[in-house]
Order: sequence, then structure tokens, then C-alpha cells
Amino acid sequence: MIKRLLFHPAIVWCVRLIVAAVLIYAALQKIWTPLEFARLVREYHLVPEQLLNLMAVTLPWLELVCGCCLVTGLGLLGTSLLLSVLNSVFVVAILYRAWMIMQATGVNFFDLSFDCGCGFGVVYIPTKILENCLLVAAGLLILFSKLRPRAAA
Amino acid sequence: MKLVKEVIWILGTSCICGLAFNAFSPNGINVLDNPWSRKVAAGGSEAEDPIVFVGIERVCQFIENREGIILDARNPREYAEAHIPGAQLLFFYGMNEYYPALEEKLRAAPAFLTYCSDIHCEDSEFLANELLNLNHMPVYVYKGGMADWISNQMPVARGMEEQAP
Repeated sequence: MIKRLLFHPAIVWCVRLIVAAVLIYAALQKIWTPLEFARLVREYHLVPEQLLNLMAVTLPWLELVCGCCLVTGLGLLGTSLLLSVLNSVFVVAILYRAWMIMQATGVNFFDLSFDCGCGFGVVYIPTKILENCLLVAAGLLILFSKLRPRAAA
Repeated sequence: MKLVKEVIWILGTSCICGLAFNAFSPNGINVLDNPWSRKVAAGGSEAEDPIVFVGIERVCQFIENREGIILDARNPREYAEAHIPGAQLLFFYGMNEYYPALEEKLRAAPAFLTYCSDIHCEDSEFLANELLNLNHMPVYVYKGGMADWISNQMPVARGMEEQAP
């Protein structure tokens, strides 16, 4: 019953639209200022400096293309997989940076806010991690909703 | 197989669109460049590094002796709130916008001093690197920045008079 409700086409369609809106908004915030975005990515100390500029130029477009695909329905399988994988990576990266800040400053995790480079400015980190986990779940929902009919057939 | 094809298609499209947009965007950046590490002038060694980190005493000396131009790497809002008297705004993330108007003045200057918000801010170093790439040297970096200047109760200027662009 819950499964049928969860994978109902109307629910999946709503999830797609909400996620697409988030992705497109976040991408548009970063596309115009690649250098500023590169600086924010650099603060994670996870990407080699030689690749920062390339990443800053292409990553917002990946979000934008994924957002557009979710709206149009083109390449939904690939988009939903990328959405889940990317957001899982973002969750790990944010947790890593939060841990580094906590080690350096002694700030409690539940008092932590910083600009994660997600396109929404300074955000409260526990909420941000929850949001990203929801995006992972949304990606998986879309992915399995696409795989389900084929499995049934 | 379809899944792999779609992932490759999405990644490829994103890369092509991103690179194409970047090539024509006024805020476009060189994707092969690495402005994030300190660079040593061509043929130089660490000992000849033209970027020198300085404290407030050296900043005061720089101002008193009128050794060159002081450049504020922060954004226009922060600059307008408070800046070192005589400092020019050269917002690091708006170089394309601010640099052309200042270029002639910078070419004539014998030395440069950059600063940003505080000791944790790296924009003054990034700006110093960028100045070096544009053959402006020597460059001094006031690492303590505006926070150190204010905590030492030094005079501040406010507003945006005579600032480029």
C-alpha cells in the first residue's frame, strides 16, 4: 500500500518538479560566479587545486542539466542515479568539512553554519545534511519508479 | 546499458555547456589555471618570492612613505562599510569589472599592498597572485586585514568615493 502510494505517478512527478526547482535554482546561483564557487569548493580541501576551476565551471551545469532532465523526462534513469550519487558525495563532503571545523574551533555540530557552496549562502548544517539526504532519497525514488514497470514486466 | 549511456550523455552535455558558457561569459575563468597556490615569479626561487606577508607596522610604513597602492580585495559592500584610508577597491571576484578601470594606475605604481577581512580570509593572497600574474610587483599582503586594522584602533574611511568602476 505504502509502496504503491510512494511510486504513484503523481507523487513521483511532484518529487521530480520539486527536486528540479532546487537543482535549477542552485545551479543558477553558481553559474555566474565560477571563481567564487571555486573558492567555496576549495575550502573542502577534497579537490586538487588544478581541477578546481574546471569543476567550478562544469558542476553547476551538471545540476542545471539534471534539473532540466527531471522536468522534461529525458534521461530520467541516468539523472536520478547521478542525483543520488552526487548528493551522497555532497553529504560526505559537508560532514567532513563540518568535522574539520569542529576540530579546529570546538563548535558543536548543532551550532554549525557555513556556506557549503550549495548556492543557498550560509546554511545551518544539520538541516542542510537532512535536505541532501532527502535529495538522495528523491533520486532513488525516481530511479526505482523507472525500474519498477520493467521489473514487473 | 541504457543507464550508463544516459549518465555519459548527461555528463558530456554538462561539460560541453559549462565550457562553452564559460568561454563567452564575462565572468569566465581559465579552467587550466590554478590561481589558488602561491606562485613564484618566472625563473625565481622561494627566496625571491615577490609576495611578502606584512604586519600592521609595515602597513603604516607603507602608507607614510607612500610606497604604492593599497588594494582592498573584499566586496563593495564591505569596502563601503569601512576600509583603510586611501585604499582602492579591487574586488577579487569582480576582477573583470574592476581591473580595467584601475589598470593604468596600477601600471604606474611601484608597489602594492593587499588586504581583506581578517586572518582567515584568503582573498588578499588570491589578489596578490593575480597581480603577480599581471606583472604587478612587488606585492605585500596584510594578512591581519580589516579586523586587525580596526582592533588596533587605526582610522577608517567609509563610502565609495572615487572607486572604480
